[in-house]
Amino acid sequence: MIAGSGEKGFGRAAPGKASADGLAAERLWLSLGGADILADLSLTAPLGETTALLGPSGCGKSTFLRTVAGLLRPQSGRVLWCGNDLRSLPPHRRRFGMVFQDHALLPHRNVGDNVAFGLRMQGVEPSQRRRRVGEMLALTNLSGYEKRSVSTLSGGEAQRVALARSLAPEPRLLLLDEPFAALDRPLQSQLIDDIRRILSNLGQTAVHVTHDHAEAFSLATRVALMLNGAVHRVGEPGELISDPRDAYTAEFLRLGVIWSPEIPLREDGTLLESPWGVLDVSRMNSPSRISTELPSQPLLLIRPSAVLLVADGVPAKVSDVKVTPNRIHATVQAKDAPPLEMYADKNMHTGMRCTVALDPREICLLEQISG
Amino acid sequence: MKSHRLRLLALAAIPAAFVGIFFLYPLATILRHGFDASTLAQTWGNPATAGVLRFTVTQALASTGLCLLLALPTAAALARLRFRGRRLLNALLVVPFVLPTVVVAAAFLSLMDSLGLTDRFRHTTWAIIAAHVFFNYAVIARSVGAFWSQLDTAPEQAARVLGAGRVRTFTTVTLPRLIPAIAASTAIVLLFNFTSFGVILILGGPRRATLETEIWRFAVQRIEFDVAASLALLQLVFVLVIVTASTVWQRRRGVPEHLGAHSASAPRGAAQRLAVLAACLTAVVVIGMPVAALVERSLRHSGGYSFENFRLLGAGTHAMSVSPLTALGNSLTFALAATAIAGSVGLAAAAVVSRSGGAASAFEGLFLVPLGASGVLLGFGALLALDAPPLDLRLSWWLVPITHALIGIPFVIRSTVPALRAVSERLREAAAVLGASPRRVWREVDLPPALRGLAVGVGFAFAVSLGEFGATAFIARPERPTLPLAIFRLLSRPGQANFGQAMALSVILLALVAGAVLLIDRFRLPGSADF
Repeated sequence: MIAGSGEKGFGRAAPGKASADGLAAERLWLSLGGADILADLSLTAPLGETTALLGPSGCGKSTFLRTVAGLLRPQSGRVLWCGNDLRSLPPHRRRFGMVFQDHALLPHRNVGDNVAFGLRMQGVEPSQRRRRVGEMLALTNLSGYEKRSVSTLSGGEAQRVALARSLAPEPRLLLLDEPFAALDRPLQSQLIDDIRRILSNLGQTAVHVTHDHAEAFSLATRVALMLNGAVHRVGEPGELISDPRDAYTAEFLRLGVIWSPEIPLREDGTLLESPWGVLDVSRMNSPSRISTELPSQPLLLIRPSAVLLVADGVPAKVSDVKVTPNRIHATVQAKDAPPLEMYADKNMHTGMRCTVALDPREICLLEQISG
Repeated sequence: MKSHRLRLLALAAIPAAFVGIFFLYPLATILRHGFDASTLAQTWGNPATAGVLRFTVTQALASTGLCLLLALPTAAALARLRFRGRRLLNALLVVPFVLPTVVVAAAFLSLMDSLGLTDRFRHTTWAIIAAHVFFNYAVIARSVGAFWSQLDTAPEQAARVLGAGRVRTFTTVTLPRLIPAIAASTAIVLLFNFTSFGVILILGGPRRATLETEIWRFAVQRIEFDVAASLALLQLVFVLVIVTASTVWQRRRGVPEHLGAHSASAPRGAAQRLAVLAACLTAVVVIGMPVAALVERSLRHSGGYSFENFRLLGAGTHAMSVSPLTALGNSLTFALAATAIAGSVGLAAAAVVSRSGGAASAFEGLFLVPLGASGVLLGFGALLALDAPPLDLRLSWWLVPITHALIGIPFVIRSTVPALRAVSERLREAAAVLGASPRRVWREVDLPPALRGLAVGVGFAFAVSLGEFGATAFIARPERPTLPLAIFRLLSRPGQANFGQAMALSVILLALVAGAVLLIDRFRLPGSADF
């Protein structure tokens, strides 16, 4: 597992060596219709782990998966599996598995035949095939579905069949292309839990592509954030949340309000005037930037947890209250200040007046990159 | 990439050559003959021609109008109401489309005979109009009904919520959206009625001549090819006007609709129940009665019911030089050959057409033209053009199946292309990632649905060939008549025995065609092309 390595896009080691186990995509360039979809993209996926590639819709995630599968050919760069270049290997010889957003089940074949498809392509004996299909359907909670027509399946069932089908031939690498996007929320979380259990029991190496950070964080052990056709940042989910480092990451993961003060730091270099009072920059939470010198005009991530109701705080008004199943969020606005998000209690209501202060330990210093 | 292009071009060459030689070249020959200035002036300026043209147009308009009047309520019931017998009604509506014109004409003759109306109605405009309604009632009911049933109902519900009543909603929201579908099917029906041949020849008799029957009379009976060609030219002009007007109008008025919803519900209230009853009754009267009369008449012989008429077909006591059973054999052989040609040429064309792009759709248009050009034009063109070296097929056995194949190919294309196009790239990718080589992908993913589509198209090509009359009337050798020609000959002769045998032969043809269509229905994919 990598822990906050500095190099953009690469896992624990330099390219070339990193590819010794698992997948390594190196400096992929691919343009379609004149636009660079993949622009110098590098990513590793270590054996036995699930790596999520997270990015907004249309940023080239699916293109990356297709390139890894061999369905698209990059203009330059290479895809390695355990150190071997896959360039000359067509998709049907790569022994990868892929689950598509629309499951792509063959409509003229029943569930059992769909799951057996890859085994048949490998020339596995019928009796063995049947046994393996049974195992796979049991694994995906679909025992007894062999003879069902795929047109009678619900969205969740179809996606389970697609998963069983891709796992049946024991792929070296499983590629998941937004497999939950077409499902509704409760079904999504159920299926995500199931798939995480299945993948970890099998010790399956997987690359999971999604635009939903909640989905990526709950399935993957490593998350790679994509920006402009390249990998912008790789890290463990917890690490990305605690130390987003730059505005793009903080914004994409919706970690809080990003604020750029108009007044520069005071002469002493640690105190900052703000509409919420004077803030001590040196006490702010910025693990990766503690030793570096502070910029004269820093960019701040103010997390909801930083905003506190205190008796001697700055007067503010509650402009909105939003209730989610787990938490109540309130938007509070002080005079001449941007609105801030905070965790509220159930007594707060729109229009209420209150006094707030910011806890500098819950504020993060960011770099100036944005998407 | 380049080799792929070349392969596609090679694939396109076969069907293109086929249509070029057997359709475009004959058509050009008709034009060349027809453009002869003196004949053209003489024919077009002739008051007799003006009379024929007037009758052709009048009967086509009258038939189409009556057809609309009867078919739209049925379309409404089919689209919006779910009732017992709906499937049966739908099945009944397929019948006329596949019935050979000769059988329909025979059915109406037997209906008149059974009702004792032969003297009053034979050789009248009414008989022609009735048969045309029989033929085309289903075209409008089915195509408008299918479009209507798939229309999204949300705008109607929105109109209701916004305060429009039932009638107001229909006239301001539903009807305007239906107009394109109604107009399209009306244009097709008008075209069918305008170019109708067998029905007019048999039911109209010598005094009710249209352009089609006149072309046939001048070409086949009087051997005045130039006159026939200038009449064909006149007919082409009218066909082009109808087609162009309909296309231009649809392009201007056409609004893309989201289709796919199926919104039929059980009938509520007396009015809706009455609508269902009326729809079923119309279908039964318009379609069921003539067919029932045909079957009844075929079994009637000298005052009682027996299979005597059928027995006589094989007995050798018939008035024709060639036995009706030989004609049956000829028809089956021709149909099999035509089907083989249409299937292979059509599949190659479908493979080309299924690649998207403007060139592909223009290519498809090339094959749809023979379908709109009426059998008489196809037959006359073949008669004119393919009787001299280098293409002297006049005496060849192949001329009939080749011409039939021209009509069958569009059906093959239309049934196969949607199946080929419906295969999503995702499925091919999924199969490839699972270990299927490109060839294997084609066999496992593309072929199975394409084969089903092909089976449907080939079935239609077979049924169409069995019943084809217009073109065959020009090109079949006298000693090798087809089933429809044999029926026509029997009907042209006097006497109850001949009439009975004609009915028996019609029932055999009906059974063959119905069998082919029932078989097709087993292969039909949901959402595939509806003819």
